[in-house]
Amino acid sequence: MRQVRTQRIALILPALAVVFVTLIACGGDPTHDNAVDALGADPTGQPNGPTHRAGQPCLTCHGGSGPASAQFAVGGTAYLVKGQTDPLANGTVHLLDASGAKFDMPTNEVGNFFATTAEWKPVAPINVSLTLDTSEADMISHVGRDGSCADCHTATVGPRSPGPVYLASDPGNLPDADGGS
Amino acid sequence: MRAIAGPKGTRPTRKTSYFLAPFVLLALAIVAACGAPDSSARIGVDAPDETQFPPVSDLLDHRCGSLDCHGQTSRNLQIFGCEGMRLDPNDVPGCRNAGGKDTTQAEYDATYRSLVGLEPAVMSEVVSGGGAHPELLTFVRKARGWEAHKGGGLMFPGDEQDVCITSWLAGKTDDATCVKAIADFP
Repeated sequence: MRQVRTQRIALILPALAVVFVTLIACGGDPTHDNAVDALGADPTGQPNGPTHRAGQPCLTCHGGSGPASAQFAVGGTAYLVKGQTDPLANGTVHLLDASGAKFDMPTNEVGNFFATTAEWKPVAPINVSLTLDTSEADMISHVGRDGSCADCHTATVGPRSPGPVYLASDPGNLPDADGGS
Repeated sequence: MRAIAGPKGTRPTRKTSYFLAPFVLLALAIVAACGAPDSSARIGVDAPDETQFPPVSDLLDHRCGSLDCHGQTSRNLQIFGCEGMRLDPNDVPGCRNAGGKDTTQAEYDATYRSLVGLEPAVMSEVVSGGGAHPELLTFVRKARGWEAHKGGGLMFPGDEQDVCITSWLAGKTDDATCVKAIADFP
């Protein structure tokens, strides 16, 4: 009787081990995986790095769940003029969190900006403003919880999105425009 | 297995059981039919005054209704307003001072319904108690940071935001404090 029981256990244990290993291997977050997949190929054609995927929600991949290794607290893309595609290059994104801590992020040649969690751990809500030389634009509302600017600032304007982040609503307000500020 | 019958006269025979069963079923059906609640019955909510809500709604829109927080239809508490989510599909985020359109009455109504409908029974209790215990409401505890809240503690008992909301729950919205709270808490 005891021998039979030992034989049964010897059969069941490996089977259980296989089940556990399978569960662990398949134990990803399908919602996150779907969000990453939905981004598709980079429409800008840029290689992975600071200039890739302009306009897309950075924290989908850089939010700590992968697949990117760098983890961002805040990240996005800014444009010069409302409704246009010229990036806000060499500008600055200023952040002020609820604790009074400030952090400035430069915008690169495609308008991308980001702060890694190693650089800054903000306390929400965060107030945001953009500057380029003497031009400044303040975000109307604050950031409550989502560090991915493009989650709210989608490509299209609608009742739930003001559209992409921009510095000026009119090209005449840009620093190098005739008579501009 | 064989059933053991008791002495004759002390237990019903099988024939008697067959006879009684339909009557018992009929009695149960009548009880069930007559005991059902009225399908047209409605439970009322002793809610705070809706006409006093707009200043409170403006504060909620400002502090809680950003598009990444309660300015989303995926949240139980949905806040509509010019600083965040718009109700009309043709409107876009942005108030009049930013070139947009101020919060509409329909948006105030939608936010009111969302807030009052969160915990109708608790809301009734708070309101019938004259707003003495606003902390019974989950949204107050979350806003105060007393309960798990992704946005953390945003207001504290006695501050302008708290006074704005609790004064409405008590039946007399402190309009001036609501306006001041929006200015003081960017």
